[in-house]
Amino acid sequence: MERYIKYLLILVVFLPLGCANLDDPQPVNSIATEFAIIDRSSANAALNGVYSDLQDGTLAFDGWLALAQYFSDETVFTGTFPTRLEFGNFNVFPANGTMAAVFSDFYEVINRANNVIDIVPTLEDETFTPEDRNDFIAQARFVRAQVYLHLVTLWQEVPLILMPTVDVGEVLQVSTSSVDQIYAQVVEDFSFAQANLSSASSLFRASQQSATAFLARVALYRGDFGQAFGLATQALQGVDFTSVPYLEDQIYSLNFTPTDGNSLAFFYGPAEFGARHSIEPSPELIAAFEPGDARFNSSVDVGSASVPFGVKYPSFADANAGAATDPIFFIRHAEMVLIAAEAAAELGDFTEANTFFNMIRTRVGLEPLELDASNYIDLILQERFVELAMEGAHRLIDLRRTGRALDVLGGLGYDPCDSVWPLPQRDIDRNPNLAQNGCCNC
Amino acid sequence: MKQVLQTLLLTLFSFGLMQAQNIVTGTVTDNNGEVLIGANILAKNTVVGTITEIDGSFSLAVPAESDALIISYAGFETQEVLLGNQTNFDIVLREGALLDEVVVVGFTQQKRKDLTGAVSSVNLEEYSDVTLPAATIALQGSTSGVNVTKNSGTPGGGIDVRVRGTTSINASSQPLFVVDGIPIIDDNSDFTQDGVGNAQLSVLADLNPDEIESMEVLKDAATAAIYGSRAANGVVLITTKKGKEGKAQINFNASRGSQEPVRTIDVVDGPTYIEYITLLFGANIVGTEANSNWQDEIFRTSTIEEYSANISGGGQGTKYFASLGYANDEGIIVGSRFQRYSGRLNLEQKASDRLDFGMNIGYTFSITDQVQNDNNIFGALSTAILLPPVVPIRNDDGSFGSAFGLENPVAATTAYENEVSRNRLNGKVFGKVKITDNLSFTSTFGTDILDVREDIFEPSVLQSSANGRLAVGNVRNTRFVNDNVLNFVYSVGDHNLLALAGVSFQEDSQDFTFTEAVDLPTDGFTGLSSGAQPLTTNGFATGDNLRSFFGNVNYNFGGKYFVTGTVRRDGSSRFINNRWGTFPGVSVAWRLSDEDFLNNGPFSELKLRAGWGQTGNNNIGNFAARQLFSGGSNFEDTPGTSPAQIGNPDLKWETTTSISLGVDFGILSDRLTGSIDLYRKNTTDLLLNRPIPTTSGFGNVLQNIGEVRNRGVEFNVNFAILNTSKVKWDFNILASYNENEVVTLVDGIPIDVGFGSRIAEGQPLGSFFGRVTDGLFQNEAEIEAHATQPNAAPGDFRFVDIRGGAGDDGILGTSDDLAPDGVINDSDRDFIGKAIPDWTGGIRNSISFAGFDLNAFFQFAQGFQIYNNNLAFAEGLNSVFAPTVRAWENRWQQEGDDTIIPRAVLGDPNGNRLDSDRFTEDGDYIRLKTISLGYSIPSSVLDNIGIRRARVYVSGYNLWTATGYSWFDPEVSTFDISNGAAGTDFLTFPQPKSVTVGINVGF
Repeated sequence: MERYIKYLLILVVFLPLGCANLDDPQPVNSIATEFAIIDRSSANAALNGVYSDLQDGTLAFDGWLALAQYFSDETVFTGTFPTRLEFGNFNVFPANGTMAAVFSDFYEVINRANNVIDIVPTLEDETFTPEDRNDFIAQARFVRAQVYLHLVTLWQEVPLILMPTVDVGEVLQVSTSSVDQIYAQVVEDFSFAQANLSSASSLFRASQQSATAFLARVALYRGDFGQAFGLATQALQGVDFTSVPYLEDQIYSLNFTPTDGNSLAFFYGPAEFGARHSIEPSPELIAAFEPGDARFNSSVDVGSASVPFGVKYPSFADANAGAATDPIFFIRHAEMVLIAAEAAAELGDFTEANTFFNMIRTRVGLEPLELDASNYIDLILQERFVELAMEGAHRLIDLRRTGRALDVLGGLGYDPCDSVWPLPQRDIDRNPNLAQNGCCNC
Repeated sequence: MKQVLQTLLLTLFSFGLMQAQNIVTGTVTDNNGEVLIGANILAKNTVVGTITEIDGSFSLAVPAESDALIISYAGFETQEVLLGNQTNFDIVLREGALLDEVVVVGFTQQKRKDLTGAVSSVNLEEYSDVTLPAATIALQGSTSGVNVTKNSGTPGGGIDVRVRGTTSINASSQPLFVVDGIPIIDDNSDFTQDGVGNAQLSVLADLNPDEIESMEVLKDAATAAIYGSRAANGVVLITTKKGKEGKAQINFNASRGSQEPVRTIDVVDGPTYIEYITLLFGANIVGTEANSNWQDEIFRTSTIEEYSANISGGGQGTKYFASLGYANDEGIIVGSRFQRYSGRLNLEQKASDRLDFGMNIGYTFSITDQVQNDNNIFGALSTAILLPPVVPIRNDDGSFGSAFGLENPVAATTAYENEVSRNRLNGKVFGKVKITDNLSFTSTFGTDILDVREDIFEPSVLQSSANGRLAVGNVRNTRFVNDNVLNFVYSVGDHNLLALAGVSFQEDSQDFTFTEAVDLPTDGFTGLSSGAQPLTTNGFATGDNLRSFFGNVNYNFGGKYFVTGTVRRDGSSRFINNRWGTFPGVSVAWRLSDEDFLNNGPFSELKLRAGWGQTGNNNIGNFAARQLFSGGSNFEDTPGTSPAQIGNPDLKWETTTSISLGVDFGILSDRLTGSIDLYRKNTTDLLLNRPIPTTSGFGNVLQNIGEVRNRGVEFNVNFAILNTSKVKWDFNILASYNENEVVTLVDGIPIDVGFGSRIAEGQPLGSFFGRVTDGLFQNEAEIEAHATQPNAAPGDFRFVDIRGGAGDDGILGTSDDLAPDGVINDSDRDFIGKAIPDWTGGIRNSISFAGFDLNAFFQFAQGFQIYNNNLAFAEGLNSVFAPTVRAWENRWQQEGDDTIIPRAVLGDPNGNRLDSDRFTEDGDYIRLKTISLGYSIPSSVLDNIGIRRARVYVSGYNLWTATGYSWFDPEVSTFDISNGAAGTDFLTFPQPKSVTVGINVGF
């Protein structure tokens, strides 16, 4: 018997009582939230995370560019996705999944920014100076304002959320704010950024100049033409606009690198280049280019393939693998020049308006034109159409803000109720305090 | 052993009473001609008996008052042989009826007739003629209450196993798989990191079916509770083969055959496509005028083969089973293939009267060549259906023809390379000490190590990669399990007790790396370092730990009254505030047939069973409870972090409470046996992602909220129609009914998944949701007369105006919905079908006659729909994709056309392609799943050449299917093991059918 007790003892000794500890294992690529932002360096990583979210695949194509371009006379839908087709047909339903993804991805950026804005002032890091902290906060507020500006121009009234999400429950059921409230917050954020940005200016991050430029855009959209003129000319200070080639006049762009690239050219390019060709420059856009316009070849290509295609994002070879580095032009000096021209014209100063307006035309080899009270809106809209083609949501916003949307797009299917996009049904479903807006199909 | 001793004693005793007796000799073998050692021989009406020797022979002095021998052996039917004048007998025992078989139940083995719970068994012998895609397919239609779907025809592809319904929404609904007592890494993921569409692989395809003796499915919670927090979806216990004492037996099995697609889809040819594209775009915008038949290019008749050899035997306390196997499944789509090399050694040694030890070890190396499919414009089948036939296979310059960014199907199948190789080692070592005659202790150390490597090469000739792409992924899964169990057996009088208590530890870890590079100098460079641009470097590790205590008591009184109690307590590292959970189970049974009042009734067996139990499901992410910030949100190639999940420290496992009732019966001396089972399973505390307003920056947070209910009935009948020494005909039919209902969701808010699938309260999981069509508009007047339907024109669908909106609760399809409002919009969607069948089952006929054996197995599923999303593209008639002949020829063209296919119109202004009942089709089918015809060469021939047994056979798989489904095959699920989006077909690799011939030889 003793022998067997010995066997038993051996087995018992080998019992791994110490294994399978329930406090193990730990994640390796994540960290508990309370340890995520603890000092300047980790705050910087979180700030990178804010900018990084602007590059989100859905935002890069659908969010910043395609949906608004389909929903205008700028491009036509040539893809296969029914949800994008709804934008091409001016017949968007609240259940549109692509729109819901874009909407939520924008709010993901906002939450990331809110985290930085909320936590940075509380950090106990003596090396993190007040100026430095304000610079971080200014950058986060800048990005937040940029996103809200995009939301308010496309959806109009949306929830205005300024605190990070730390808990669930009714606190998340935010109702919409008025367009005025949202614009007020956008102006406050950009103004804070303008006053507090202190880090070295970078084309790909917030800067005082880009904050000024965005404030000029906001002033124009709001019809505050005096402000718009002042801010636009401020953003142009020291810039020799006409000597800078087309598209090289960037103030603030979205950066991509080969390891952190985009697929934009895959959507814009033709099948002959191995691309998907989901979006095509419209006949209206192609026709809008005057002969001899140097911008034409940098915008569209009507000869290299069986179909016309956009070339603002031309890295066709790398786009399939998501490795294209074509930037998205968030804001350029040319827009400032056009804002100055439009604002001056609105204020009745056609001398000033013509000076700015013709800077745009002469730079691209076109004859100057004479703006006057009867033609300025048409001519400036036309110039903005070709100058800013396929760079964002410019065309749709321009037509909406000038009251031209129904005239120009009505034939394509635009109705008065299309002045807003529906709030995503899934947010209506999840948030009892969120009322649908007056969109078509709502 | 005790019984044997008794018999021996009796035998010795009988010598003392020797008088007027005959010496009778003979041998006892099974129906395969293998000798049975230790079979009991008893002279009828006496206590005189003996047991067979190592060569199966016996010799017995039979007293004069006995006129017959009774031969019995565990697992075999007892046989009575009349003596007459004959003194030498060759007795062949037939394997026992179902009720006599021994089944593995958790940590114990029991006779089926003593079970109190619901356990289904499959004997893999019945599938030995068929090259199964994976061993788990043997559960399909052959186990009641278990619904098995091979989600695609992908060689080595994913398999959905559902025991008594789908219990979960977000956690896995696959059962726990246990091989020889060790829970193995299961089928919730295939551990590949580079997608090929939706299809997944099954890591269980690494088990060689030829090494498996049987599979048992623990269906009810009372029985499965022994596996606690992982048992809510049932438990599949897989037992590999063991050696028997006796001389070495060698078996060779070889089979080889060919397989082909069940059908193809008629897509328009080149000239017709030109008509089509011209109608839509005014010209052939593709520009080429070839006439390619893409399906002919990618489908093939291919080889399927399987070879295995095993040797088993034992002596002097040793038992061994060793096997080697090779399987090769060249898929019916060019470029797809699954190969498996497997080996196993199961060894058991009796070291002394008190100590047994042994090891089971199985090793597999498998290679799967994959092609892309499903929702993927680079997919082989995807493009073979949709790429215009006017595109040439190759352009004049030799490059692959293409259009609209779609891959060329020939390139997709020949140039694209994706190889997944898996090394898998699973096994255990164990020692068993007999402390007293009643008490033993078993300690088992088990492991399952699964290394998955994927190598992807996309040369520049592909549309998917301009300058070449390389990707390499590696995943190492390691599981370490230690079980220590005390077993107690005690019988006195009519009291029989079997009890156990144990502790168990399990550690799991996973380590993932993935690297990707693009821009290769030429297509001749296939090494990662050649890529000019490294794109991705991913790496992460994760894991979880589980500690458990468990106990189980089986008591029966006189083999008539049975009680079983089980409890397990599990602690999991996946949870924070609720780490430990207790999972109890109780079941009882009453054998009425042994009661006096039924003694002379028609029943040879009649037993009632009832059970209650609770089991859990902890199959969520390892760190899902934590609030986390993640890395990887990099910008300008500098590191960035971002909030990843809100987390919920109060998370706990899902709990399934089940009640099970059953009756087992046998009549005509067990010639007709069967069982009927009823169950009701309520799964509560479902781990649901509570959708939260996306304006929070998050889509959802995981909480224990929901409830799902499954109810069902299972029937199983076995009938030995003929059972003579010449002809045997066994018939088995089983059918299972399941009713699934989502009882509670977060605030009742439906969850949309897949293409047209919606999870909603009051509906079964896998419901389809969309508009309801009411024919086509024939003219403008009809459009005018109908509710406002934007952009409708004659030839477009008329959508039914179901309601005006959701009402106060904001949820469509509830009682407060608003009345129809004369406007067609998203409010006019309704439930239009469901993916889970009402009825599933199978019918098996096994006939043997004069050396021939015929085995035909039909499998069916009834009462379900398939969401045929293929039609949204191949019959959309709105874009450049090639349409089917059916759609093109039957499209609406002018007023009066009586058709269900809308007009062809660019851009689909009416939304004819919106989710609607247009795409839901009945999936009901019955198919001849397997059939085999074999011939065993008589032993009189074989004995002379030293062969123990030889059998040749021909078998078929999926040879015949009856279904009304219009696409390739009704057994399909593009979203693979999805709970909520099951039953959608979208450009998914279809099922093959195959015919093989084979041979079994034994020495």
